[in-house]
Amino acid sequence: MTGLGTLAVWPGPALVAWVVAAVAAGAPVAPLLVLAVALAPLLALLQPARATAPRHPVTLALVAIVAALVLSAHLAALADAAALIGARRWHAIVLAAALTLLVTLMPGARRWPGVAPLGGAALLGVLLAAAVSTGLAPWAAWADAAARPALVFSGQSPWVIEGERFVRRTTLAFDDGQRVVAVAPGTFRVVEHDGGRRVVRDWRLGAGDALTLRPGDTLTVEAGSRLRFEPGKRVPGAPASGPAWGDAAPDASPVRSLALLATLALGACALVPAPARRVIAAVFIALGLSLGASSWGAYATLAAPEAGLAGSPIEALLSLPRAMPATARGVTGGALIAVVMCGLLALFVAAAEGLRHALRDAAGTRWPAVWTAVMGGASLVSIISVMDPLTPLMTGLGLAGAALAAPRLAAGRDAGRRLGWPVEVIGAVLGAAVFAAVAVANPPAALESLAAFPVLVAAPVAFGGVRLLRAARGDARSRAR
Amino acid sequence: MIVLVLLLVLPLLALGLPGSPALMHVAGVTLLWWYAAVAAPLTAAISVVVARAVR
Repeated sequence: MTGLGTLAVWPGPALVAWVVAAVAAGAPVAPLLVLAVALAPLLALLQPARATAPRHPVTLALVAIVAALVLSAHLAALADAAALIGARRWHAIVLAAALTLLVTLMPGARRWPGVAPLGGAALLGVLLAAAVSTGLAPWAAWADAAARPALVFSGQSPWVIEGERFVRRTTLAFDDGQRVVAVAPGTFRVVEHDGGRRVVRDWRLGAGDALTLRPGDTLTVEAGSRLRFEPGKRVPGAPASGPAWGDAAPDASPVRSLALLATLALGACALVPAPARRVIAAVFIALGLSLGASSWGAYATLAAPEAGLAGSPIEALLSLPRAMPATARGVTGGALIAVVMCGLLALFVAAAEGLRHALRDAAGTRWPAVWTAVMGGASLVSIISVMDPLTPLMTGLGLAGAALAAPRLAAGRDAGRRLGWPVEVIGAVLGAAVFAAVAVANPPAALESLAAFPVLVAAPVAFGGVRLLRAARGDARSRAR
Repeated sequence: MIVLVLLLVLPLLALGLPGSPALMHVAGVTLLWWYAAVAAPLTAAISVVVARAVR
């Protein structure tokens, strides 16, 4: 497979949306996230080219689980996008899964390496339209957004004019008083802090009913609810000001930052094999990802600071074309939203094609049946549960890092067999078992970061286990001589 | 590969420095963001190309 093809597995819709949303929201983790997302696939390109991986039922099961998790994340992102433009979630999931199965199972599937650049070009086109529409270069847009005294709802925001829909259950924290109006009937939970006392009130509102919130209140909104906000008021949950957004500095614990880097780097090493050629093209994809996502986040913050309100990272991607005025050439926001949707679909097909290659390596001639089952399972999970795309994405990348990348890196070219199993497979079982145990454990507060990122424990255990088994094999050989 | 790992962990070390040099502004953007979005990916890209050429 070419460099382009191997890297296409990386910038799927969920990952792209996550990075853009983090930048647009001024999340403290955003700079590290952009850095890790850009550098992780390049790190994977430099990993030692391995010998033929041992084909084993355990490896196949792990690759299938990882593929299903990553596909679920991307499908959840596409479903969120569909919900935000007023379509049904399951329509998007079924369409994307069916199209991808058609593309990946057709005999000429190798003729489709251009689908990832097509998706990237579609998103780049919208980014260029944003630059032309605002008349600002990305760094100028960044400086403008960072100079704002406060991030507030504009009078033209769809959240102010007709009200928008929340994709999933969300809790909003209000820093200033605001009157919100229910566009559709629903139940809303308000938590007030009255002189240090916490008061919980549940409100059942009809269409057009208003709710007044005071500074410090939180409002929990159920999925599917629609609300309208006041123009000129601060966006709930947004950074306090433009400078606070622009100065986003990692204030998370070093352990959490390290865990994020480890999850992304090892996840990329597991999913992106070292390619034989077209490395320069692959490098440009990684660069485009970092520069493109950062620029998109800056334009989105400038045009629509409420980009993260609906509870889905995909909103940050859609908020930019929505907020742009029609250009002189007649390109409307609706047309640009269609371009973004097509770009995301193309990125999904390309990422799925990359995952299929990994599955084919593990499954051998049975890959069509296994691949169809994986895609079907991921689609079913995404239809049944309205989950945050980040949950399956981070779980999939973490599991891939602990159970696939760490044992492979430790095993090297020829680790041999122990107890009748390839050493790499034993390491994979160890990594997966520790990952699952840490993920479901209920640790004390001091160790919460480890439970949130099980790869921090599981990857070193898997790596160390394989190294120990290799060393023991080496000792046995020495004694035999 | 070592260069790339160093590029990844450098911000974690820089943020611990006194005076927060990573938060200084150049053209309205903090050094940390210039590093994360432009300088580090560019350096990493050049490193990968050089490493591949050497192999």
